[in-house]
Amino acid sequence: MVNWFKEWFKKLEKIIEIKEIKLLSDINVGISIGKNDKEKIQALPKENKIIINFPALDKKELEETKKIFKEYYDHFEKNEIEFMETKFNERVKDIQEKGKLESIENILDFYKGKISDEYFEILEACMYLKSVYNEGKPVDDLKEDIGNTYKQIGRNMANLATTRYFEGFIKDYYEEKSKEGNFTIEKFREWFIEVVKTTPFTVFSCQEKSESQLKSEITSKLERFNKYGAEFLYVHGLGKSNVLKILNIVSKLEEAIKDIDIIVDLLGKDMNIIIVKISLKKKNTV
Amino acid sequence: MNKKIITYDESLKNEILSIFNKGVDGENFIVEKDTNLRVLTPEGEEVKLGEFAGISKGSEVFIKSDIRSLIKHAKS
Repeated sequence: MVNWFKEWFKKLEKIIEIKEIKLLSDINVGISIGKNDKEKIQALPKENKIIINFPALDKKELEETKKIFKEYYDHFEKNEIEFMETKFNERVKDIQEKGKLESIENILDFYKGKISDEYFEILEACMYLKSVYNEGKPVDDLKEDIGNTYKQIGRNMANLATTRYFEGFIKDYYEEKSKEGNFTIEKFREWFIEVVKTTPFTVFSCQEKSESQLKSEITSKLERFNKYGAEFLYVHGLGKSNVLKILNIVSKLEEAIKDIDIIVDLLGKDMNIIIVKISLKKKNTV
Repeated sequence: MNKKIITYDESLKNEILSIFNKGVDGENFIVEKDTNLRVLTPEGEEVKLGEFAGISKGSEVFIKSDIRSLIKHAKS
């Protein structure tokens, strides 16, 4: 392999005028195809990596270089080589690393076989999103990707994942119900699908929902959340505008509904996270 | 053997595709240059240039950039 790479690199040297290249070793040399328009080839000795800058090559050099890249590709067997856009290669590595996190592995192990493969696939994506979210990194693009790929169920499960429902209420529900004599996995799956389709015990505020839309979603869910074994309806919001919107609604609910218990938690350094816990003391007309 | 991964800048997608004799049709789908046939992912999906994340040998496995495809690839 080492000799093969040296031979390959000699071919590259014949095409591109390469000054002295110093690398850590001839083994596992990383190759990037970049867009720096100054140098035709750059070496990153510490990373044992070379960057070949396609835009800096003239037409003949570019065509010849592409040919030897095809030779490079053809030299390897199935699954031994790939060309990946840098940012997606980073994402794939990140997915692999986060998949090994104990907190993520535990959740996925728990749900494996308990929910259908179709929903498990969405859960994997959502748990990845949650791990990125937990690092405090922006997740808007990832959330949008999940929404585009898995539609409303993906959006709902993403919201449930970031608010810890998969390691909390949904898991607890399974553990409690599985102790009952008439429990079956099919019954749990039916309940699970209903929960991720309708999120009956949670309401998530977002920029797109107006105050009146959010209020009607809350009141409508207040009428039926008990049916799903939940004692509370939770309203979640992130960001100043969502916090204010929810606080407005809460004050109106307190005025409009008798015998309602509302606990408001404002979290975060700037109090820009809100969790409202609502319960009805007795059967009520909302 | 560790998988060899050649990474490339987003702006060089077309150059990478041309290494494999691939181009793009009028609707921006990746095609075989010789036949103009659209390439497919292992799931049988056509691939738009904007969705193209990479190519893996097997013989030529096209990888899309959505989260489902990337997770599947990460596990392969």
